[in-house]
Amino acid sequence: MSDLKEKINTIYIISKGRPQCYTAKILKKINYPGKWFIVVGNNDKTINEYKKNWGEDKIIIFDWFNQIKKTKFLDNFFDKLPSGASPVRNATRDISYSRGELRHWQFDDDYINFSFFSYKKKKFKTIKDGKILEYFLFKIAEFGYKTNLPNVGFCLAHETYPAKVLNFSKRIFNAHNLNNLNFVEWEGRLNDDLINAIKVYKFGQCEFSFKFLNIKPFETQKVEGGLTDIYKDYGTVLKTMYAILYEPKATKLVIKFGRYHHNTDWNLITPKILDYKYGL
Amino acid sequence: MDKLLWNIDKLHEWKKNPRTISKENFERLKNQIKELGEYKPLIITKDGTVLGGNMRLKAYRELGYKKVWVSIVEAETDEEKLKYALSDNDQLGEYQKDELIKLINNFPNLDLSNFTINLEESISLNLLKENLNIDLNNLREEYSQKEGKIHYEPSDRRWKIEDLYEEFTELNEEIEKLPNEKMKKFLKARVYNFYIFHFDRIADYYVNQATPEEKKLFEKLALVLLDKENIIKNNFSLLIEEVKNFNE
Repeated sequence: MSDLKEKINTIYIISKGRPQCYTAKILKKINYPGKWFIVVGNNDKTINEYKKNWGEDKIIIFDWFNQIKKTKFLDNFFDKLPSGASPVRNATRDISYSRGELRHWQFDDDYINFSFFSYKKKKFKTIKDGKILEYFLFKIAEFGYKTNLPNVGFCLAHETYPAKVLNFSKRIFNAHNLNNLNFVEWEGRLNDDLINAIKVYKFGQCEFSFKFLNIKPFETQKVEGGLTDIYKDYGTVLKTMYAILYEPKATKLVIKFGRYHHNTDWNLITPKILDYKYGL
Repeated sequence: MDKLLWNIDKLHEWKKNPRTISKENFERLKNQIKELGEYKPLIITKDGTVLGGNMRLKAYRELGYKKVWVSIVEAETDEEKLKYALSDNDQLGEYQKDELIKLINNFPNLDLSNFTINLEESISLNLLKENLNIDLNNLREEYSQKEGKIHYEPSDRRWKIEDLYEEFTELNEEIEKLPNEKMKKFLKARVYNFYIFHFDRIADYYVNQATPEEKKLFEKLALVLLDKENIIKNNFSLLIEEVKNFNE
């Protein structure tokens, strides 16, 4: 598996203003044996802290100023609002591609725990050995490679419906393994993951998120840095607006669990996947 | 209301019945009838139109029933018929998951393969039973229940082309009043963005009714996703097997 692993399993942690980088911390703690890097923009004032915390060789810096010129934000707020994750996501694809990789992982910087479903013990177990994480990441990346899907991944712990741990969902919220050659460009200042999923389906492709591997993040909206400032100032309503802008017929603003959410009717977005026997 | 046995040949499905059933669920329904028999009547009108139990009627026919138990209701208009159809299928009660699991646990040899419950979507009771030791309250988002099989199971229902999508017509009249044809074309192009496509019906249509030329275009326009050589399904199965056999 080693040759392919080199080309599809590298982790890029996308980060901004959070040099403590929880995800890097947990990867180090479990002695993750695979390649991983932290990607930050050259506008980040904490770059030196990143380097100090994790070593220069672990930090990849991209040209943020150039990248935001190329990004479709779906608004004309320019620099009046933070740029969100789309620029770094697109830049990370270019970084991975330039390193000769076919696919790559994009992780957020707030993971504090990974778990996998032990079929034999019928329960989730916290991953304490980095080799186990590498194995499961490779298996998911390999699935993406064999199927040539643009985006495969796994989910957050609280998204895992217990009866379906060996199943999948058609939407990825967090940990993405992206196809460098069949790459769907990220758009939008906020809610970029939803917009990207909608684009994937509109272009006649699909994405899969697996349930047998999951992550527990630090609660994003309580951590400083990252997108926190946008949430603080404008709330989730603004986040939802980007999804509505992109797909008005299928996305609504709703109140759920005491806060604003977007409610997307995926039946109106996702074409059905059919068995090959039904084709010509 | 009268309850009596009717010759099955005198009964017919309500053409406007909005419900459908997948092949897999239809097989489960037949198995349930084989096991439990005919324990409730079909809801019909005087002329033999079935308002409640259209799927059961189909199953009874396939199982060779000659006479079936019916309950006749007074429903002349479509509005009245719809009310009976909705009422017959309205599952007003809710399962309390924990209580249900306790109950199921009392019968370790109970065969649950033909039953599902609705916890926002149909869930196999066997699957629920297999995962009893997992915290069932660890649920937050509705989407976490939305997983499913890789391939859509098409129904054999046939659709008119106009049933496959819903046009957004609210602005058509205003647009049509404009004198400039190019502007009309431009605005209509924008209106298309608000059309709603029923992808389940579209998949049924693709399987049952589309011509070869139409099928090609359905694929090119991403109206259906054809799993070429079933590569997604096969690799999914392979991956899950590897996860199951993983040795820590």
